[in-house]
Amino acid sequence: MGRENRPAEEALNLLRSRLCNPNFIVKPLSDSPDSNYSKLKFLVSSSITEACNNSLLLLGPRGSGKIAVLELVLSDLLLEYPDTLSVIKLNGLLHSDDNCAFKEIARQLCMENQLLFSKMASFDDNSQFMITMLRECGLAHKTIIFVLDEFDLFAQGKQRLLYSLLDAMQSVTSQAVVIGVSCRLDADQLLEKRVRSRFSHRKLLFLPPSMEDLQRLLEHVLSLPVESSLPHDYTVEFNGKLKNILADERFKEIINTYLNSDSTVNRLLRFLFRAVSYMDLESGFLSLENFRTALSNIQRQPKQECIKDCSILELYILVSMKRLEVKEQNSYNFNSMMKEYKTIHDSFKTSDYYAKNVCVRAFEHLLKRELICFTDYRGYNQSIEFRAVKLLVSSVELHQGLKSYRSCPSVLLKLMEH
Amino acid sequence: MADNEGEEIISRGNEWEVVSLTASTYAAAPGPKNVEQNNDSKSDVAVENIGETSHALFMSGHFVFPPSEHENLPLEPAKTEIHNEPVGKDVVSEFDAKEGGRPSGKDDEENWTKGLSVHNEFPGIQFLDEKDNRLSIHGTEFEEGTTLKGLNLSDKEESIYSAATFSSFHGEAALSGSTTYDENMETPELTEPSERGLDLSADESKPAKPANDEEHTDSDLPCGAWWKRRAASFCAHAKEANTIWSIFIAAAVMGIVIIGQQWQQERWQALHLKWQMSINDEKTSRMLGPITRLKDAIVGGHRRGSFVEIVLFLPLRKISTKAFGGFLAGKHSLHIFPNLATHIRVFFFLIDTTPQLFIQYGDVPDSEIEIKLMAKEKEESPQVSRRSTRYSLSNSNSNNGIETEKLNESCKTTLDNLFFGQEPISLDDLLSCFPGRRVQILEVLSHLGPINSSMPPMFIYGSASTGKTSVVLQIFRHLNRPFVYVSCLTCYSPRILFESILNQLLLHKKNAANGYSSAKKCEKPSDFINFLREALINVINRFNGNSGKMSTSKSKGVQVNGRMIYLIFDSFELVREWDKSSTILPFLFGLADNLKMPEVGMIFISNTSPNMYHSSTGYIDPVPVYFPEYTEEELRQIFMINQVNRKLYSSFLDIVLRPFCRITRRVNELSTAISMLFKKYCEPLSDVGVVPNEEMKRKLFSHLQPHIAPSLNEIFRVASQSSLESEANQETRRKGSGRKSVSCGDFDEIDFHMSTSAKYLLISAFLASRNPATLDASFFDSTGGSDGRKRKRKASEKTTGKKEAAEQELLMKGPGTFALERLLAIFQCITSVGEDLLDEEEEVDDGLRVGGGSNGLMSDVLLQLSSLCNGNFIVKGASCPLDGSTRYRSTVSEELALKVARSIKFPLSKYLYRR
Repeated sequence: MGRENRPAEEALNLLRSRLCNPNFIVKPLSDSPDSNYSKLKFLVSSSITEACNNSLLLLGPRGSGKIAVLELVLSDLLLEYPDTLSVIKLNGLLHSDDNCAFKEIARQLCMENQLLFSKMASFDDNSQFMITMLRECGLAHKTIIFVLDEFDLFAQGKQRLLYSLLDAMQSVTSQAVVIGVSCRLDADQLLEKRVRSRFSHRKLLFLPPSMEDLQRLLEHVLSLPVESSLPHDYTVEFNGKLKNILADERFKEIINTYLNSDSTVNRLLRFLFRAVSYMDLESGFLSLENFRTALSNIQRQPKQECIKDCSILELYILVSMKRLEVKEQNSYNFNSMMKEYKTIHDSFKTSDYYAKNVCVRAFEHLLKRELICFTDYRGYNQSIEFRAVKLLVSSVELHQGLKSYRSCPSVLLKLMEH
Repeated sequence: MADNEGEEIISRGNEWEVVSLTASTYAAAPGPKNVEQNNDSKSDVAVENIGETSHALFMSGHFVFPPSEHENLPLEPAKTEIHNEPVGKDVVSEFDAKEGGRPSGKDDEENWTKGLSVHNEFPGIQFLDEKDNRLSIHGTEFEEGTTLKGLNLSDKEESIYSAATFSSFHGEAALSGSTTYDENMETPELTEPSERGLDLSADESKPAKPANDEEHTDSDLPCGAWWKRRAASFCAHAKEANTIWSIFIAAAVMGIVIIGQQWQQERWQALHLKWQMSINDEKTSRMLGPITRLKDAIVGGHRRGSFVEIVLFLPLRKISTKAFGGFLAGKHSLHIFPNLATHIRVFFFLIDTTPQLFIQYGDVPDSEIEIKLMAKEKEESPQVSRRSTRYSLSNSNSNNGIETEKLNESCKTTLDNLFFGQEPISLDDLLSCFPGRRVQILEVLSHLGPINSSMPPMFIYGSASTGKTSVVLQIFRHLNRPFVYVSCLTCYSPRILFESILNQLLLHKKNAANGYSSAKKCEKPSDFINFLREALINVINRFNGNSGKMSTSKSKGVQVNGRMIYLIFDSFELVREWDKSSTILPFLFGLADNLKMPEVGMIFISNTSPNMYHSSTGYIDPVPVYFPEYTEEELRQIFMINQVNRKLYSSFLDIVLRPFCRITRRVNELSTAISMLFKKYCEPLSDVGVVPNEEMKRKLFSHLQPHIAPSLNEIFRVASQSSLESEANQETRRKGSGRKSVSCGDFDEIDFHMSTSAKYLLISAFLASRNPATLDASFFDSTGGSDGRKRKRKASEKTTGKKEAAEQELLMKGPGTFALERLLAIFQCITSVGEDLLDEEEEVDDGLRVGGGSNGLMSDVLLQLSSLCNGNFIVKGASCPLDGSTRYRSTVSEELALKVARSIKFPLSKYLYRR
């Protein structure tokens, strides 16, 4: 890389770091008054100013930017009310165990308030501590915001954490907001009755952005800032080219094909990241080709790839298994497959007939590739030949794979067609 | 028993730690700033505590020697014996020396297995556990009565044991062992407990093989340990009595020893299978960990760029095949591209009863395994290999001596061991190293991006031996950026995974000083993420601070390493099986989101495609990068790497590659198959360096032609190292041992040794599994057996429709199960028949059958049965739902059973029920 590419590299770095930073992404989507950002901010800030308790759920598919919006709101509020706010963050994946969750709450409370945290404190100690802290903070007019990520996982088990949190919020002295974040739309239905009755049932739904929003988002993310360390003319040229691409019908088509499968913000970011990382550093500009390769690389068909990876012998095995399935044998194993393989060989006189041990090994390769699998775990100490197996590819997929396979024996294709 | 005792002590140790931990945490000052401090003090305390606990253990009398010596103990037990036996002045001392030497043959093998897993779980207390192992092993081997006795006396015995063993060891060490061993200790690759343990074990398990003279073979047998135990207690008493008595008793003991040895010699035939089969399932499962560490070891060793030779003796019986397969893959990935792996040589010696069984070891790429038969009949080859390997070991160690010091210094002070550690290679080199991986390399590089640019998680997938790990590691060598490599294969539980990552990030090295403990104890993901964040921030800060200094301290101060750090998770597909509640999978996938640190990049390497990862909670897919299998052309390029005579080899590949590619396109499997054929190909050539012309090519082709088709069918066969065989044959002939060497590839004869009664038992198990139980009477009725048999068979042939259905059922269900009683009944029947036959033919082999008659064969049937079970010839099935007795099932194939039957001249086919 020569010196003249420095701006290109810098631009690439800038774009990549943007795409990895969800807070940057959600900003342009959140300025309208009916956006989730505004609603959430209003709810939380009102409960801070009015010193009351609140609870709400943020629901939406995975990757729709719930946490990003929440973070944005919280960082704004922390600037607004620096002294009267403390945030406790829990994650269902980490703290779904009640004991663990209380410990983590106690730890974060201690961190926040510069208290001594004891690792050995018991469950009761911790929950007592939390209640006391809630009361103390309420008296000091300090709001505690509990963020429960993966909220549905907290609803497993006895829900003691949720109960004690929501129960504590029934009293006047405490001052807290519980914000649950979940990708299950029925997350509030998972709650027990005693918990549900204490929950406020406020829900914010996160929907995929509209097409116009997406256009704005793309422009916002991909265009370079004019006032920066980058050379001015480079920036202008870059943005001009980008505008051309964004206006291009083919580009819209690419984006649409991608969004057809998944239209959440985060997936789109992954796609954009991939495209940006293909940017040619020599020229230093994005091209339509980048997006096209990114699309083909990110939308993969693993089954087809797997079939393409197979050797001829493995294909024979797959086809004989498929034939067994067509014959409606309810269960079959390696031995019956071998029999079928032999009949294929006998009727077509193929050149690919191998001994049993070779076939066993090929069979194991298929198991490894997860194109086939054992139907049950019962005969675990049986040898591999006798355990019942099943195909994990549909016959359509298999047929397609065979057709796209280079130098696939014509016998197999013929067998697949009947 | 002893195990319980050990665990009690361990748990007590933990409690102490807990207590003082609380004290320390409470004593620590409050506030967020102090978290770090807390942790520091915690780790200090932990170290102290370990010291304390082990101190207490020293006091308890189990532990009368410093740990370092104990570690030295199992080094060369066979030698110890050799040195001590000729001395023979002091009866007691000699006896004691044997005492130390004998059980080690087998026990050590167990010790290291268990001891090693202990390293992981109870760091710092492993010495005690090894001791316990020894106790518990004895316990399992002895009859109940003796066990009790042994335990009562355990205190005294142990002290005798250890004292004697160590005194003898000291002598030995002074003679030869100490210097090499010390170097061994310092080698950075070997300081990992697992590796060192394995390394030791490599030495240890050799004596377990039959050695030169008869006496040694006997003394290596573990099964006779019961009398040693008793004798030891005798000695303990003898020491308390006066000298005359002690001499008297010692003489008596010697008598017992001699008698016992003679008796033992007789039992050897019957029991030899037992020598390595007594590892029970539980222990082997604990053994997996250390063995699977090897891939890490290799990668780590490679990374630091020193010269390593690893010699392994693996009792590969029920080792998790996955682990082993992964291990071989690890080795393989270094061997395919030899220019990258010049620093590492790996020798394996797998120990098992029979090579056929490998076929059942699902995933083992067994074309990689060179089988050397280590049964009694082949004494010479292991001997030679032992010498050579030991030689090479010491060689490598001496090479290491200088390098080690350097490495130790650098490891201690800098962050260097987060880097690849070797000279960075250029992009062109990188691309030329991996033919056929150009697209993938460029894709990964573009994803990693320029310096200091963050990235979303990346998911690299592709089937086995497509160069995923090698490519990624070499890319990091090229980029010279810091990374943390963990393999989910070697870190086989979340806890080990977490601790391994933290150890690498905290630059913590497990060694004797810290009792092989991890830097942080963390089991729960919630703890892990806190520790990880802390460690990452720490490391990144150091990078920022040091970046100027780092670049100058590097050999070529050109690279700016950036402040990104990458976490690489290899063999990620295994995580799916870790817990069924499946929180760990989304946790690891979402680790980057959880950390919210742009400086951390995550790379997952997996065998299976992303759509095979299911989880109830879901996760955001990482960006996939696919490594397809090599095409035929790419395989060709790979095999052409480092070929001396390229023309010749390419003409060879012209012939060979296409047919083989129809079976498999895996490099590791192809390379072994092809290398054998190439030797065949070169046979007619006098000079291998010759450039072949058309005529010669044709000649060579016609020479090779007949070998291709059979070798296609043998591509995965285990024991097909023909060259190795012929060498072994020559060797045995030269030695004039007169024994018939058994060829591995030739399956006409059974190529493992088995006692006659075990063979009969195998056959009867086979019969019991194949024949329906209702027909037993007609088959084995001593009076009119053969008539009834024929009638039955004819009757069954009538109904062909039924026959087909039954055949189908046999195909589906496999061999049937049988109760122990039925097996014994059949066994008795066929042994009596066998006796008759043998008597008629007057071919009674004296060496095999002592005492003659069915009594001789019946002697240890249950013992034999258990060893057959351990050898996987017979598996224990589910227990019968009615009476709860265990049911067995024979797993041997018909060919094998017929071979076995032929070897004892038993007319098996007469007794086999044909549908």
